[in-house]
Amino acid sequence: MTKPMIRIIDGNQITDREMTDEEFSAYKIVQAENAAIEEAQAAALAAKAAVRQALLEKLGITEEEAQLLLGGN
Amino acid sequence: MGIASFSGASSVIKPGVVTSSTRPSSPFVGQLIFETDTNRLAAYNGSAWVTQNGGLVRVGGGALSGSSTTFSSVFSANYHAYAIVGTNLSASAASSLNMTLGATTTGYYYTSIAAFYSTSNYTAQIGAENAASWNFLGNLNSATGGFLMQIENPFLSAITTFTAPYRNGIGSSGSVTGLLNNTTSYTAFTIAPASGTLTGTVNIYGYALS
Repeated sequence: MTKPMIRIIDGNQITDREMTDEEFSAYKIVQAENAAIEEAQAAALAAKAAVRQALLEKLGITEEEAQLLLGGN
Repeated sequence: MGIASFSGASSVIKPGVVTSSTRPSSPFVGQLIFETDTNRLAAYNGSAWVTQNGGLVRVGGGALSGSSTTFSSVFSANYHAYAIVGTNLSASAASSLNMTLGATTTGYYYTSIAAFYSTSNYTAQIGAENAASWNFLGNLNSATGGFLMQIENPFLSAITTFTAPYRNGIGSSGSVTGLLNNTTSYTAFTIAPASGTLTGTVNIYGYALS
């Protein structure tokens, strides 16, 4: 199986090669964790927006009216 | 120690090429040297070596390529703080950027405080604790394609800290700040897009200590 390419820059020396097993293992850890974090963050932002929308509906005002009340633009 | 060398119409002057630890022991006023470890010119003023400048000194950099790019031998005892500048960045897919120091994939803490303009102009705090990398720059694919990161103490045996931008096109902007919770001394770092491949240029500058 082909591994992702990595570039190593050391001064003027540039090396392009496939990742080693160790580098690929570290790369996969970072990628997998980041994907999970981004998914959780997106869910948290969506939940916050939903709560805000529910509150607006409960108050019976629009987003623009809420901004006026809060002094926003 | 090199003296001057001359080369026809394209004359050149070559100062003494040394390191900061092998400076001439009996210098004369006006003597010039170039230090290979600090990448600086220095002149002797009769009592001390005066460096070329006291600001930022480029210590490395180059073009990004592939899924990951490692910059080796950029952090040293000569500088405590560094500016890492990314320009003309382009990712193959919508992506944030991950940064790791050395081979460490644990202990990264970071927090983003960002304003999300397209969603009712609210602010949000996002981030991670004890993560496998620092994540910054939001969504590169629709962002402005550059960043300026400041990083402190990567080489010193101290906790490394950083500050970088968070952006998601014109949809949000803010900053990311964080730390790496160990006292390991690092000389290298790696930048990788969260997905796909990345092109562009990164330059690293050290803040001169004097």
